[in-house]
Amino acid sequence: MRRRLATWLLVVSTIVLLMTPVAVWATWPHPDVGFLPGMADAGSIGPAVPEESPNVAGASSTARHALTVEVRSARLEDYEPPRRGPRPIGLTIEAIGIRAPIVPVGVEVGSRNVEVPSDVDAVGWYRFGPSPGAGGSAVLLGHVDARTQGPGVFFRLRELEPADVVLVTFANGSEFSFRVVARRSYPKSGLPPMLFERDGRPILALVTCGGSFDQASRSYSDNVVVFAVPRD
Amino acid sequence: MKRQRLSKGFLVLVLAMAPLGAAFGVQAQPATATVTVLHALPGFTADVYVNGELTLSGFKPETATDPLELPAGRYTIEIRTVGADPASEPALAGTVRLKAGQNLSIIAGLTEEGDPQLNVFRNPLTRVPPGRTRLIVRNVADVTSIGVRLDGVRVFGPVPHGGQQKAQLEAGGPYQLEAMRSGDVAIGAQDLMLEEGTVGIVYAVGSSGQGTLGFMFQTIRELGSSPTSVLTGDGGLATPPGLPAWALVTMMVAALGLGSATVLARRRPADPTNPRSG
Repeated sequence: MRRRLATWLLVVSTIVLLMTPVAVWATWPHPDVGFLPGMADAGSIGPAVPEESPNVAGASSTARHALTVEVRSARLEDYEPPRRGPRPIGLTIEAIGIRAPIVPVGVEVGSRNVEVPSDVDAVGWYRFGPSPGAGGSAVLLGHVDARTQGPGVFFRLRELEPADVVLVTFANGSEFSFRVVARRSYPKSGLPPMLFERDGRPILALVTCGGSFDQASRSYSDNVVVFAVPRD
Repeated sequence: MKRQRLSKGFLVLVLAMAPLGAAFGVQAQPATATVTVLHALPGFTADVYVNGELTLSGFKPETATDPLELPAGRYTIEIRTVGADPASEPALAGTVRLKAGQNLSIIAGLTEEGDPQLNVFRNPLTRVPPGRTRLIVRNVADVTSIGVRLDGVRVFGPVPHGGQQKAQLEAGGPYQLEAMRSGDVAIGAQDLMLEEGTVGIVYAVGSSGQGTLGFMFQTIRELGSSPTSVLTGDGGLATPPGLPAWALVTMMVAALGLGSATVLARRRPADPTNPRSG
């Protein structure tokens, strides 16, 4: 009787002891979720946008008809830079309690780093890329945290799940709603080229830091990127 | 940069274009050059013949073609006054050799003496770092040298006639661009956007004597590059969680169970021959 009890206890305890870490691992927030249609996971470029072929003349110089050549004013004062989308000014993500202002950011002088807002509660919009909702990948970035200011606006970005809703408001009063489709983690040095794509279908990329933290260099190993697409 | 003087004549303009006929066949032949043709001679409207074909009719001053993809090779160019008999003697004729992969700007401007001159510039195609613009200023006006200021600041030295100056600048704007000559404003301020990831080419054109000095502009896109890093945290608060509390408790209970089991198993089962048992 007692022996049977001992055996029972042994078996059950062993199973529980072994399975607990497995259960923990299974319920752990996985860095990569969801699926970005048309994008290979390794982070290659999205669907190739066919290159515009300008007037391409034939190899043969014997044909009869001249190609129509577009001519336009080349006066500097007639030049109009390409129209840009509206400027985003606000970000709302109910799922993780974000309601934050968006400020335009560029590139840190003398580097290839995207500028990051000094205020951890503000979201930066990479102003050289597309506006959210316009063709290409619009990049919004925010602090996960800062040594002096504590948790940042994107502290909980890693908790976003596919189907969560992201709302962007613009300076002209309009707004654009997106649906999360994927979350990915990339080593810092390996951001995918498609992240800064300026053409193609509209994607919203929310970027922050994540992965492991190196105390010595005070930096994270990875970038966490949440991808969203316009809601239908 | 290469400068090529054709002849004195009326005007110059060049359009190297082979015919539409084989447009589709070109896909298989990527050996093309990109050519933009600009017209910077005041007061002359031209018909441009390429390899004997009228390619561009009524080409007006201060206009330019879109970038043209042309198969590499030699092109014969003849320029006549608009509407002139194709069999008539051209006002200007010349040849241009295009090498595959090149991006050229061909601009008809003036010599220092004010005579027509054809200038061929090779455009740099190296990528522009993220957040920046490559600004090039070229001088094809009838002036020996011209100074350039952006919002009142000199970004590079004087631009010699037929030559150019380059600088890589932070993108943004609009800036006020003006040209100076011996301390005076030669071309009044105009807006200039420094568009990120592009090469912006400004041409000082026209005649100082006739008061036709001005700026022409060309831009080359698709030369940008992406930032390589986004550094958004130095707090270390967002590291992956350790073992959650429930798991710790569960495992402790299981360990206890394991311990008890071992103790139970060590004890001998009930044995009538052993008085100490039971």
